[in-house]
Order: sequence, then structure tokens, then C-alpha cells
Amino acid sequence: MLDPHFQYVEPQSLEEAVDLLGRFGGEAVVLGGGTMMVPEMTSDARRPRVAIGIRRLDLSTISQENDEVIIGAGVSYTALIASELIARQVPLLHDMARQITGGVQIRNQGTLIGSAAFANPTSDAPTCLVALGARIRLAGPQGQRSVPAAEFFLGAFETARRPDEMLTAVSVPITKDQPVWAAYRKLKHAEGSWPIVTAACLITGRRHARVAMGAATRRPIVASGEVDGGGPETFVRLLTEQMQECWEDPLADGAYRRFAAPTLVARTIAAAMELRR
Amino acid sequence: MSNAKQRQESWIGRSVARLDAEKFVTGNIEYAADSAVEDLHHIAVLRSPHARALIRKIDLDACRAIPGVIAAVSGRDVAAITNQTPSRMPRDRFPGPIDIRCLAVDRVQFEGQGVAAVVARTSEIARRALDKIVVDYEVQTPVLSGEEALEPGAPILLPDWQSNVLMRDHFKQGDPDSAFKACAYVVSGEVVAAASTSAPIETRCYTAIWDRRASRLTINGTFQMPHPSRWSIAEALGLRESQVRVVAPHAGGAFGLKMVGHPEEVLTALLAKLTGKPVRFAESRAECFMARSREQVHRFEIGADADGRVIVYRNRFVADVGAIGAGGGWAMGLVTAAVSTTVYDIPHCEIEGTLAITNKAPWQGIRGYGKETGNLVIERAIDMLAKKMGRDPAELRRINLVSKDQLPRRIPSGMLVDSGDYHAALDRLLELFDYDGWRRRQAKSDSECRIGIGIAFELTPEGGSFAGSLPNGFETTTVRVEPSGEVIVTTSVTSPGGGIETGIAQVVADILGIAPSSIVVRQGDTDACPFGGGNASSRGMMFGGGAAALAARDVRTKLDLCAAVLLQTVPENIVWRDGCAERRDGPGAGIALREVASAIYTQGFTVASGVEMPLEATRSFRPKNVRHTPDQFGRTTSYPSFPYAVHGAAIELDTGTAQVRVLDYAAIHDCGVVVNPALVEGQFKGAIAMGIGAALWEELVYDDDGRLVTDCIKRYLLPRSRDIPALRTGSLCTPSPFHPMGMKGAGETGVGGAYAAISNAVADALRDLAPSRTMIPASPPRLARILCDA
Amino acid sequence: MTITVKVRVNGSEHQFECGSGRLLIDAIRDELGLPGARAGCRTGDCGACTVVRDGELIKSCLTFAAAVDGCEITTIEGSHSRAMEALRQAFIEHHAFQCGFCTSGMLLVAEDFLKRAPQPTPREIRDALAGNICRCTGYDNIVEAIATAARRLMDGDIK
Repeated sequence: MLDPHFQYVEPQSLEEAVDLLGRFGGEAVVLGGGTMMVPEMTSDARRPRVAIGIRRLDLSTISQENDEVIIGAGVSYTALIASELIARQVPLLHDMARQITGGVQIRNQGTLIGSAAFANPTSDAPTCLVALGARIRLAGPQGQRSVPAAEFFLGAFETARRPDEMLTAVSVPITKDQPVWAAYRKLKHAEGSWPIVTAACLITGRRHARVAMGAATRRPIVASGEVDGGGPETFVRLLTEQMQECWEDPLADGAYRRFAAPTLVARTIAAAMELRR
Repeated sequence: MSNAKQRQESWIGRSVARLDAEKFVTGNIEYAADSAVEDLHHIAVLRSPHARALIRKIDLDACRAIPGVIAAVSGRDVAAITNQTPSRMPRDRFPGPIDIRCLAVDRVQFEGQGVAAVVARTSEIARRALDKIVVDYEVQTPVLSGEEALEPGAPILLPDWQSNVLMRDHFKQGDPDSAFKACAYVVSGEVVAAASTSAPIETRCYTAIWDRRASRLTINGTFQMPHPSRWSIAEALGLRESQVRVVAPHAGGAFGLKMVGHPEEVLTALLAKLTGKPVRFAESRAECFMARSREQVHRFEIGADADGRVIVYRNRFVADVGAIGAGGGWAMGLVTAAVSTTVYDIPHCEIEGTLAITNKAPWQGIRGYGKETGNLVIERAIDMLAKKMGRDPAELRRINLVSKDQLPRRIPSGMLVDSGDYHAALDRLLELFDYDGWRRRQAKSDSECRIGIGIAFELTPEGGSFAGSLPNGFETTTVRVEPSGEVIVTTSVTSPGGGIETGIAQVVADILGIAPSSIVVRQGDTDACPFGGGNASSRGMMFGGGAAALAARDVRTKLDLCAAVLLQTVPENIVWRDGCAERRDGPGAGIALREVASAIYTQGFTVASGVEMPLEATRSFRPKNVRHTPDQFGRTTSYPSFPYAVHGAAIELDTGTAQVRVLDYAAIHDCGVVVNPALVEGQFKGAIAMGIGAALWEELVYDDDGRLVTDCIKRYLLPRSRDIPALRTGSLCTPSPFHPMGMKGAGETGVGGAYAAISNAVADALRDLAPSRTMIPASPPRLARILCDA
Repeated sequence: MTITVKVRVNGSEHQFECGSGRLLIDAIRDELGLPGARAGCRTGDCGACTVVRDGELIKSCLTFAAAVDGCEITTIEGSHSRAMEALRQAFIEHHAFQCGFCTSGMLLVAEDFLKRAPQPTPREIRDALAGNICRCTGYDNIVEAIATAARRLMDGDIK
């Protein structure tokens, strides 16, 4: 907002939005709920020329297309919690959305995709999207594409989004005939804290588990395999082996994350297994 | 309850609703940032990114050229046209020369110190203009801890000083060295407390207007102490006090943070005068986090005989008070020392506190004002002693408490503790908390999630007035009855939210026989209110209410004289009930207050001829039990009253994650006679929440260059509703023999007890892993290190 | 850049001009003259800026004024539901405020919460308040006030 020519625009169509991105590229930010981006602008940490609001782009739907659930960029956490489709087919996101920090206001305003785009390593969304094996859909002047979540999150606040692209949706693969059990857990020092370690566990077809861990590293890490073989310990080992370089912030250093991660991961897996019983 | 009975009941001790309660719940209370001012301009302050540096040059040309910018000043510009900002403590108390300015002149003392300021049409333009200011710093290596500052060879941070020692206090009682030799048990340890801050939800804000024709400045803002701030601003600007009006509307919490002495008080006033425009400084949340306190390291030893009677306590500590500001927040370090030996009967004692100047922001007043830390350390010491002896910590405390009959009693620092029944409070607490029940639950708790239990007392001296400083030990209240019978009270005390205005109305209502809700209480305007300190040291009710009682009685005497004539009796036979004067001895109708008032104003030569006008009284209250002349031990005492509390906390330590959850909390407090129990309980609970926060989560963190990294609420963790359990509280009352109404003051009690009880509970959960060096807050990373080192 | 925003506030249509970077909290307080919503942090943490937008609670420090063009906003000043009046009364009786700075936000959150959970447990009430910070009360009195209001609304004890 420090830019004297700053504009907030609400394009009426995706074409219009893409055109704006083509023109302004890295000088534009795209706002879903703005819960993380707006304070950056308020504090002058970011000084874009244009903020593009997606309110009028009709991206707030949750739908099923064949073997995927599509969640639009404008879908809030409240909408995720209320969605029967999500509760049934993507319970991990239901669990995650209920635990969003900041009260009902943030659940109403914040969006899953906005969190993914911002890519704060301690946010809930990146861990869950990687656990789900979701694909991130992007649109830009050069066309539309989708990127697997694990390849989308490149580092802290760093994604595969090009400066002239915006996220339009995520697609989550679902296993139609197989039941799924999911648990999302996070460690916070206190209610208002950023997560220090996050873990998402998905159990499908009774035996196969996919476990992602976040907030302890700069990008989520994931391990998958048979859940009943070695039990949670196997996954804990597979994940902690990937924790060479931890994410650190004023709330906790790497040593603490290394200390606490095994417990959190084990408990998350146990929670999912408990649902399965 | 019938109406007649209600009329006869005293208003003292009743939990009446807040005055203006409707306004609070409809968003209609006016705070400092709400004042709508035409042509308002905005101040932005350029703050040093370096903790220690010389300022070679500041270039404001490009900044001044920005459209919308009407003024830009550097520290040198300001120093040329102002006097020093006076220090709240007398200048001669400092071991070297001080020169306190609202902007740094030649050198930067801490990161975030203001070096220049801009005034512009909008706050966006003002912030943008800061980017155009060019400062040539010569960066120096900062001194970032008290220990470092005291090391031989450390750079001396203030020009023409001999060391970085701001102040030292050292006192003894008895013969500690010999006493230690005679002990059966001696425990030593350390307490390392991190910096923490008040963080009220409303940050600071000042709006100033210079009226050229009247040659007068009006400044509206977050002032806990309007009169001292008026004095400070007038001195700095070279104005007469009569040329300055300070107005403090409702505040959104203060907790010591909004006391006199902030550089922006003077800066805003100056910029209003310079530009001739209304100007506002609105502190950002990040700026608010600069206010720091409590960072100190204590090394203690405590010794007891074979029966567990504590014989000796020694504590040496170093407080990192940062740079010297005008507010005098550093004095809290002295209070930390003075509060020992709190509630315990310890014959031998030695306390030595050193206040060290460093390159960090100056200490700002915080709730507890140093008492919380003094209590924390002795409570840790007692717990560690209990552990070494294999004694129950509650019982060890019990046998060492000063008994009720020993009070009033002098403690080693020279303070005379007024009254208290610590044994009764402990009994009540153990029952309310269900101490035995928690110990049983603890015995059954598993090893992964361990229950920890902590007990702690706190002694919270209140009503502090330091010799030679403003505010000092008095407050003033005026009670006036208007011709219509309306009662208006103006008082020198302010209320940052605790409801003192309601308590004062109750005091006056009780004497005049009217309802508190019919009284108008005016505060916070130096043009309208009598002189006083404002809000500090929980003195609002004690002093402001004490003054209100004196003034109300004077007015009552006048009213009685006239009412007696009207009712054909003598003044001694007049009682006031429900706004009417009646004859105590007999039937017959009464006379309404408005009739008596009207008679006094209009019939001064007949029925009211005995009444000396005006129908108002202004009285100050000065406490007893303050002694600024040294006693035979050379000590002075600044605090007249001694509320106290005892707390019990049950926590759960998850050894898998090193996280702490507060399971249960109970506390008993005694602040003497209480005017409005609900308001006092509310203060107590809020203070407990702050103490829990400071013990577990709240920590200001600086990087290796002395830059604050916890400058937002996502990093400085304030307790939320899910973080704290229901707080179960109770009270008892031992009136203060030194206060005419028996009051001791409320507002800070709660912080120290929680700070200590939680810390003790965590150590209890750590069991044999609890280190002798307690680090506060007990954050998960710290606890994880302890658990790992096992 | 100056923009025009059209918005329905507390039941009335309004139109105002402001800079394109104007935050909603500032527009509500200045352009619309409604100071009951307050700015305590501008990072979406304290909740003092809470208002209702199109029936949903939001933190107005996280929203541009431009982004509510065409929306319906309700602030504390325009909130007069039966639930709100019950809450106001209960807040006064239970001393659920001290400085009052967080109170507007707390009341709006409580009103919204009781719509969805008319018979809440104390635990549920505490959960519902997790997005709003109070530095004065330690929360107990706020929780109790909301519980009292909930009971009265259920029992029909409200005029």
C-alpha cells in the first residue's frame, strides 16, 4: 500500500484476472481472504502495485469430478467444515479446517488455497495438501496447468507458482470405493501460536497410510506405506530421517522440532488408526 | 429484599455494576484514537535499526520535499528548541549526567529508538516519507545483557559515566554469613527471567493541538498520569504548566505501560506547536512491543534449620534495565529487592540488586512493578528447599509464615507490613484448590503426562511513592453538589479499565445516601481535575477513594447543617437514605437532596446561613506508613499497604512434546476492605492470567544485534481463552490499620503469585530433572532441553 | 487512487470515497463514523476489529474497504438482536468487561456463536472465543456471561 498508485481490483472473469497478472506479474498479489497477505501490506513488508481480489471469479465451489474433489480458490475454511462432500470424501480437510487458529472470523475469511499460495511452512494447508497428494491448479497468460502439491511447495514462502500465475483450485484424488480415515494434528505453544510441528495422516483401504509432516522443515515431508507393518514407528523414522535442515523461528529452534516431531507424528497416526477401528 | 432494607445497606462491599456500563457494551466508550479532529495530521517516527550507534548525520531534505509532508525533524533539531525531558525520579539519584530527549541526538541507545520524525497529511504519506530520510550511523557493538554490561572492560554506554551501573541497592538484616553456617539445609539456585511486556489491547495514542491565540497546548491521549505528564511536557517544551492541558479519555488497558515518560508525549506536543496543526501519534503494535521489563538474573541461597525453619535468605541479582528513559521504569528493580522477605519470618537476610544499563529499550512500567519477580525468586527458593528436605512445600511454608499477631512488622528493606493473616489464607487456599486431591491425582498420573503442583504466596506492596518523584504519595478528589442536587466527583486518579470510577462513586454514595449510578465521576483532564498521580501502584481506590471519602464528609456536613434547619432538628439527627434527608429519631417525610441543595444555593441568608459556600470540598489523601526519612537502619519505605495472596496451580507436563497445560488454578487474596468485590476479583483474575502468560509463554526475544524479533502477537503469545482454565478465587479481609477505610489497594496482586505458582508447578512436574537454574518462561523448547539432558 | 465504495451498514445504504488501500477497519471508524470496532493489532490476532459481513464474522483489519463494495456490514452499533440484548445485559451483570476495548468483538462473536450453539458448555464457549484476546479479565467473567445469556435465551427469559 505504500505504492501511491496502488489499486485493488476485482476482475469479473478468469480471463480478466489472467490479463492483469500478465500485465503486472510480480507487482501484483492475489487475495483470497487476505488473512496473511493484507497484514504484510499493512506493515509495508510487501508493496504491490495491484491487489487482485477473487471474489467475483466464481471460484468458491466444492465439487466432485470423477475421481477428484475440486476445491476452488475462494473456498473458506468455514465452507470446508460445512461441506458434506468434504466430510465424507476428504475428512482430513474437515479435521484441519476445524482447527484453524484465529477464531470463527479467520475460518470465515481464510481460504485453503490462499494458505497454499502463501506457503508459510508452519501453516496447516501445505502439510495436508501434500498428505492428500493433491494437485494445485494454476492459471496464467501462458495457460493453465496443475502441479502435484509435493512439487508445488519448494521452500519457506516459496512455491512453483510463477509471478504471473494464480492458483484457481486444488484437486484431491479420492478412492471411490475405499474408505478413508484421516487425522490432522499440530503442536502449538499456546492457542495463538503458529504451529511448531504439524502432521497429517491418511489411511486408505484399511492398510495404506500416507503421512505428511510440516512446520518442522521448510517444506512438508511425506512418507507412505503399510500402516500395520512396523506401526507408527516406521513412519516416524522415515520422516525424521528427512529432517536434516529444520525450519526455525522465534518460537522454536530445530532442536525442539526434532524433539517433539516423533511424538506428534506417532499420535497423529494413532488417532487415524483409532478412527479406523 | 425490600426497598427499605436496601436503602439502609452500605454501598461499601457491594458488587454494583460499572458506571456507564451501557456504553461499554454498545461500543460507545471513547478511547484516545476515537477523537475526531479536523485537519488531523499524522506523525511517523524513524527508528534506529541499530542497538548502539553514533549518529553522524541525518538528511531530511528529500523527505521534506514529499507532497503532503509538513514537517520533518531530527534529534538535533528538537534538542535545539526543547529542554530535556525531566526524569520521573530526581536527577540527583543518578550516578552520572543524564540527558533524556524525545529523539536521539548524537547516539542511539537501543534498537527502535526514535531518531527523526515526520508530520504528514495522512499516516501513509508519513510512513512513506520515512523511507526518504538518510541517516549516517556509525554502528557500534551493542551491550546486550546485564552481565556483559558489568564486566570489567565493558564499554561505558553513557557519556561521562564511570560504569554501566545505574543503581545498586544492598541491605542486610542480622548476620547472614554466620546464619548460613548454622543451617542444617542450604539450597542455592538461580532464576533467569526473560523480558516481558504489558501488551494492552489498545496501543498508545496522543493527539495534540496548539492553540496559537491562547498560546495553549491540548494533548489528548493514553495517559495513566495526566498531571505528571503535563508537568513533563511543559518542562520539556519550556511552557508553563498552565499552558498545557492533558486529557485522558478511557484507556483500553494500561498495566503500567501508559505511565508518564514516553518520548512521544513530548514529541507529539512539540510537533503540534511547531506545525500549528493537530497532530497524532498512533503507536503500532510492533512499536508497543518495544516496551520491556522484568529481564533479570537472580542468584539466591536459602538456609533452614533441622526443623525446617528458614533462618536465612540471600539474593543477588542483576537487572537488565536497558537504556534510561524518562519514565523511571528501572525503579522496578529496586522494588524487586525491597519486597523480600515477603510473607516469611526469616531473621537473616541479604539482598543486593544491581540495575545495569544496556543497549535495549528502557524498562516500562508493568503490572507487578518488580514485586512479581521478588516474589517469584523467594517462592522458587522455598520450593527447592522443600524438595531438598523432602517436606511438603505447603507445610514448609506454613511453619515459616509470619503470624497475624506479628503484624505490623518491619521487613528487611525497611517497609512496615501493615496486616495480614497468611495462615488463614493458606488454609483457605488448600481447601479451595483441593490440594490433597491434586496430590492424589498426581500420584496416579502416568509418566508421559505428568501432573505438577505449585503453591506460592505473593506480597504486593501498594500505593508506592518514591521520594522526590512525581507522582508522589497523594491523590485529590473534589465532591460537588449542583443546585439541582446532582453530585459530581472529579478526581486526580484515572481508571484504565479497572472500574475505579465506580468504586469512588460507591464511596461518595455511601456517605451522601444516594445511588452510585446517580453520580458523575470525572477523571483524566488536567483542566478539570485536581492534582494527583493518576493511575499507578493500585492506589486508585486507596488514595482517590480515601480523598473522596474526606471530601464527601465535608460536603455531608454542609448538607446536614441545612437539612437540620429544614427539618427542625440538629445535624447529628440527620440521616440520608435514597437521596433524602430524614430525622433519625422520628417519623415525618424527608427532604430530597435537590431541595436541600437548592436551599443552600438560593437561601444563604436564611435557612442555609450556617453553610459556608461553596457546596463542594476538595481533599487530598496522603497515606500513613510511608517514611522518606531514613530509620535507624538507614532505610526508607515507599509503600504504605500490603495486600497479599496465595495461589495453587496444577499443570500437566507432556514429556513427549514438552508442552505444559494448565489444568486447574485457585487463589485467595486479601486486599483489606474492598469497596466493590466484583471489580477487585476481576482485577485479580486478569492479573493471574498475566502471571500465567509470563510464566509459560510470554517472552520478548532479541537477536544477536539487539533487534527485537517478537514484535507481533503471533510471536509474543498472549493468553487466550483456551489457554487458561476457570480461575477459582476467594478472598479474606484483614483491614489495614493505616488506612481510614482499611483499604490496601488492588490491581497488581495476582501477577507474582501466578508467575511463581506456575513456575513451581512446572518444576514439580520435572521432578528430579528440575534444574537449580529456573528459566522463565518455561517454554516447550526450554523444557525439551531439560528432558533431553536427562 | 481514490475509489468509491457502496455498502449497506447497520441497515442503511452508504457511499463513501477513500484511498484504494484503505482498510475496512479504518473506513468503518472514519468514513462511516462508527468507532465501536477497534484496531488493536492490524494483524488479525486480537479480534477487536470484528464486524459482520454478509452474515459472517470477519476481522476488518484484514479486509480492504474496496473488497466490501456491495456487501452488508453490521457493527456493534447496529446489532440489536434478542441474543445481543441478552448478552449485553449478562455482560454488565457478570462484569465481563474492564477496559472495554475487546468488548465489541467479544459480543459479536458471542452472538454469532449462540446462533449455532444455543446450549453451549463452558468448554465450547472458551473454544468460540479463541479468536479474540482480552488482556484484562482472564476470560472467566466473559464465559459466565455468555452462559447466562444462553440460558436466558433458551428459557425465554428475555423481554
